[in-house]
Amino acid sequence: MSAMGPIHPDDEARVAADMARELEVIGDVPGFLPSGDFGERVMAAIEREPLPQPAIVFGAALRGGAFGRAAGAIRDAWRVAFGGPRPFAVRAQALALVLVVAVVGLGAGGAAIAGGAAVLSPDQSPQPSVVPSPVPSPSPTRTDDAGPSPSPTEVTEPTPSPTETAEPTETAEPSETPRPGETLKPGETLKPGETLKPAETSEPTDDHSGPGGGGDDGSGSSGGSGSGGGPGSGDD
Amino acid sequence: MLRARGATIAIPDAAPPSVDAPDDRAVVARVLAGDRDAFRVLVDREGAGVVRACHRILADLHDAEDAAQEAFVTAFRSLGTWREDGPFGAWLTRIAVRIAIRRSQRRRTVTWLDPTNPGAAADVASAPDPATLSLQAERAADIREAVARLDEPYREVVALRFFGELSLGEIADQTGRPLGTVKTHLHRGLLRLRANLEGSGA
Repeated sequence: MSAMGPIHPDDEARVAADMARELEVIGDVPGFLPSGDFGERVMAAIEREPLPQPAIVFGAALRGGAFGRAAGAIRDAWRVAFGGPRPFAVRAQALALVLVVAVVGLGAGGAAIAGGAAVLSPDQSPQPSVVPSPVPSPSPTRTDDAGPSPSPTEVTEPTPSPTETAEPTETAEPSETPRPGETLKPGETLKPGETLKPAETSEPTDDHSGPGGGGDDGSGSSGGSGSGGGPGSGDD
Repeated sequence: MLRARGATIAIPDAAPPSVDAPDDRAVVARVLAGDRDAFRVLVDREGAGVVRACHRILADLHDAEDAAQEAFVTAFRSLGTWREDGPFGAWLTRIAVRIAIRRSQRRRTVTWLDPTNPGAAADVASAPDPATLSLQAERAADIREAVARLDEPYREVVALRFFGELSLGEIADQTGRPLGTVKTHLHRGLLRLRANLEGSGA
């Protein structure tokens, strides 16, 4: 037994040597031999094992569901295929296993990536759809739409006015305007600028709707709306 | 058992020189080619050393043979991983020491209490009296437990050096570490081993 206590740096070599000598003595049995049937037992156990060829070990491991062992067989196959000197047959088998596993692995990996992408893509599409939805929800877009929308509607409103002006066309009952009494005072009808149409100047006498006639459109030639001959009559 | 002692640390003889590396390669190549019976050559050649290494760790012949058998089967399964850069026996011993240490950790509490242990009896045979025998057996059990409790890489280096009887160069080859690193690990491992024994009150 050695004296116990903290080991001083100067004593490290001596302590290590003492420890080594103790270790040497442990279990040192001169002439120690295993039992006579040890070799037979080992070979009996070896007989139950598949040949240590990576391809065979790999197949046996897969059948047994030992995936860790299968991975080890692949690693062994790599070493045998690309490692030190080996018989050609052994190296060829190992190389074949490596290639098969590589091809299957690449195929499975590609399929997994494709499947993953297919699974993920639908998840990604709704996300953008959800994101834009709040964007339009803010009123600005609607306000923008509302802003212009009224203006066009207002713009359209004028269209009815012409339609109203069309009424004069209806009123443009020329047959009525030709009333001799009214047409007798054309001079008075010269007031509005509708005199543009001299032919109709006779009608403008009726243009109490003159301005409305806006008849610049032409359709309004109705200047002759003057069914009411109001002005004219007034002049009287 | 032949041993050459160094200046500070006893250095057992390296692995048996009878093992010829090229011959190992030829035998392994035959096994890999499908000649299962060729493995018997390796079993006959390395069996005694492997069982002895396991016995040093487990201190029980039956357990040591079981561990050695497991080591042979493990080596057979992974024969393709042998790098052929050292003796087959050193590679096999490393496997066996690892298995034996794992087994000793599992049954640590009963290791040193087996009075019918043939190995222990052999140890005891050279002791002068029962009291000394008992103390020596208890001390040996404490040291085995302390080795099993060592952290890696110290445990492996110490076990391969003193239980597996590998040379420092062989340990360096098998573990893939530089020789200087192996020496350092061994030195520190021995100091830690002593510290562990002191800590356990042994």
